[in-house]
Amino acid sequence: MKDSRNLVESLGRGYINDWFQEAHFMHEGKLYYLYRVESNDFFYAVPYGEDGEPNHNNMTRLPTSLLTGFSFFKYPELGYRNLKVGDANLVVLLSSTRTARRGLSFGCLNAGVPSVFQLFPENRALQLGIVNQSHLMKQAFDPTFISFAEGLPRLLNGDIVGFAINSKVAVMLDAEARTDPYYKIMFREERAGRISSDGEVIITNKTLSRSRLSEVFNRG
Amino acid sequence: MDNSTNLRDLFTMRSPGRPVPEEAADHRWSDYLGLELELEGIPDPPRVQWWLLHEDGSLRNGWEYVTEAPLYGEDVELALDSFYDRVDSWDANPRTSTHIHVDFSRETVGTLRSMVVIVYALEAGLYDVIGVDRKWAGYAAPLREMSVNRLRNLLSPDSSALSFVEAVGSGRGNERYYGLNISSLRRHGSLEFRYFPGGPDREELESWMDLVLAIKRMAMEISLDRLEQEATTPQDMVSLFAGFLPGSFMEKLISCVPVEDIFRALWEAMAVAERTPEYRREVPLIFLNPMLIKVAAKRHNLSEEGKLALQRAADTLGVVSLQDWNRILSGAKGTSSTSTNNPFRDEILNFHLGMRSVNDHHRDSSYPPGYGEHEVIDDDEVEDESW
Repeated sequence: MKDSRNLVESLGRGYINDWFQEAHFMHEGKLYYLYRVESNDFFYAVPYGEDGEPNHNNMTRLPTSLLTGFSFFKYPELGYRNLKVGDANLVVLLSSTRTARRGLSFGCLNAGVPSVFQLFPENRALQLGIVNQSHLMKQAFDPTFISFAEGLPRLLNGDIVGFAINSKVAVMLDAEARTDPYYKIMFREERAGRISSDGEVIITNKTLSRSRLSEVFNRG
Repeated sequence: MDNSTNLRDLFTMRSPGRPVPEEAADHRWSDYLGLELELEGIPDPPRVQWWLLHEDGSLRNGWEYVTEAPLYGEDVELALDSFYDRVDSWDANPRTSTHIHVDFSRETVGTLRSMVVIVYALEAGLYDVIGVDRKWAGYAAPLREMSVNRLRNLLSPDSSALSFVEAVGSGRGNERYYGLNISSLRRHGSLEFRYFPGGPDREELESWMDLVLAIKRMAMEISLDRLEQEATTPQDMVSLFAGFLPGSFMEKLISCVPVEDIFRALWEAMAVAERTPEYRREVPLIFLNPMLIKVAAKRHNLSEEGKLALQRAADTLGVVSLQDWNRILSGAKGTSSTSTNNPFRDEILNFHLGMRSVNDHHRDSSYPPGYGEHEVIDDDEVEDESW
């Protein structure tokens, strides 16, 4: 009774075109989105170029045999991401809206920016479209995280406002701190610790400090 | 929201009626269960005793068999006998799924919290053991994709009753499309497990029902405090879990997912539950601390005079609003606060955390013509009648 057919064979072309339009996927290390299933044998996909934008002039034909299941459209856990904006680093928080469509498409990818970034010019990158949905999508699928050891000196030196260590943990300047520690550790959108200006880490989330999640600060 | 609060005291919910009699406690199906079996490829679906039959708009020529009422004990056996005798072939494609409800109407807030944390920890393995495609099907998303605020409001002992009830959800709309559908509580008094693909054979379906009941029993026995005290190493956690979960599932789980990952997910869920006690302002204030001034000087490329202006503001004001911050910076950069030379000024003031509004997302996620509306409406209708 188990289904060994590909998605086009088992669900039909129309279904895939309706429900998976613009669903993004990684194939051979490259980001694409599904444009249209043209026949039972192949579908068209739009690849991302080196500039991080979808390259519509380079539409690619891929075999439908790749579409072995919904997990073809899998993506890494969303959450914190870094976006390079000139010499600055903008931390964004990615999430997806639950919709009737499958996969991650432009319409269901949301981005928020931690409030401290409102105080600095890198925030304008989103407002002005310098960073757009395509760049966010690229980071969703192919994140570039900054290790604690690499990011902390830059933060303490005032070169960056904050950085994401992984999808769950980000470190940033605390604009609501009267006194040192002037930096905060965010764990899934909640302050979980502080860092003083001499680099001392204080985990305030008791559960986090007891668990192995705090390893990220020791490992660097 | 106290852990000992009864869920039925928080909102009106349907309940299967009488508690399961004590003599049923030793039966394999010792708790009320409800089943929804979505199937395609049955042109002339037979009527089956114990089951309601619905056309399902989310499927293509598909049907959904739903147990007429919550069942326990021998009645579950009879319903399964009846179904598998009468329905013997179907097309099990990835569009179809199987949902299992378990009664939660008599449980407490604490048991629900334990349930969510346990499922959160097991979830990666659940998808791997049951069929990883379900994770990406759109209607059975992992709990870790749930908005962290919703999750925190469910789990945190500091949540108000209102925020807890809101986090449970109304049972309608997209809030139910998680592998563990908590919002089913409001409509049916049950928790709905949506992790399972469509078209299982009887043995497979029974193994999933065993698993759901075992997870519930575990949640009833193990409070979050006990989990915190006893699951201190990955090995301790496995021993604890193995005391409740079916052996065959545990074997597959451990072979699919590194124990460390399950352990990390368990603690992650418990860490999410912990709120940082701090005053939350409606309008955030900006404390002009030395590090903020240092970063502002660099990031805004301020001149020495500009830095002095910012330092003066820090010395005299100490704390400012976002509007004041922008005004001070305009001054520090040598631009009058009323100048029209700064093209970004209004955008900065009006920009709300870079978020696109929820309504924008809903507009973006329009349903393809002819499918989406049916999908939602029909699903609701089915769930109205029974679980």
